[in-house]
Amino acid sequence: MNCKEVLGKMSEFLDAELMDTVCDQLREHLEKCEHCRIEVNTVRRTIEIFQQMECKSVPGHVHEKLFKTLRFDTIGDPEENK
Amino acid sequence: MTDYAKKTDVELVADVQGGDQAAYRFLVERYYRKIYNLALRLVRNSEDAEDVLQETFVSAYKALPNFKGQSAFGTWIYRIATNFGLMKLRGKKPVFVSLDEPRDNDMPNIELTDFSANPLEEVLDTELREKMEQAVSALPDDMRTVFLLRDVEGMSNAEVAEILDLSVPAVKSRLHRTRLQLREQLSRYFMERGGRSSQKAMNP
Repeated sequence: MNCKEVLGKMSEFLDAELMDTVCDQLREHLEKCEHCRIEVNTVRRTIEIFQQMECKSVPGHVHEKLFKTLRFDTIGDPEENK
Repeated sequence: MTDYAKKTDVELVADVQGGDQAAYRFLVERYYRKIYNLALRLVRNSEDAEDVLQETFVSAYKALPNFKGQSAFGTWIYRIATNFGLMKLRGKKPVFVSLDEPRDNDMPNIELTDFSANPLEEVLDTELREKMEQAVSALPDDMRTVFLLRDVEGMSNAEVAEILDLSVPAVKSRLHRTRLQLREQLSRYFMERGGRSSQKAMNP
């Protein structure tokens, strides 16, 4: 496997979606190619970083409006509010 | 008293379809925060995100009697929210650029900083979090949508393909290009951040 192929396949590699034989070829390349190692490691880190994006809390007034629209304050039929 | 909180989505959906309106509240409580976050990052302003949140759960309630459970409730509700979000975006910007074909400038040959060595908890500070939000917000709509669903929300390629009516290879290809683009931005950011801290070390 050459550098170009590694770059094309690294997302699938990181998502564990490659066949074992292809994975082995890719790993073999990484062992001897520092450039591709950095490529793969930084993409892996990018994914890890963005997986940590915060789940922000919903502002009180937004929550209130949603539950009011859906008539959850009374546990009624949301359709009645239409 | 029914313990709704312990029920699975499938059980709650069946309860709603069987006429138990209260069960819908628990489905909404399970998903509204996630849907709001997705909407906020997709449409990029709180007013539109609020609309998307409302429209999603009102229209899901109306459609629930016909929901056959072919996909998971979670996938289904994300699909509804994503569609409302994309409608908002298209309303604002008539040209929806599809980036499925790789372009020449997709992979600029830049010098990469290896920012993978430091522990995640050391680098994840307020400044980086701000940078992340900016980087996602600056992505083209189609790349941002795939990335949010796949890497931020943690859905599978197949689920994202179903939500966006794309093929799995198309999802993978968009995701790959988006990850590279974000990686390059992070690389530039960490290079600059490294420069700042070494400057600080020299001139404290």
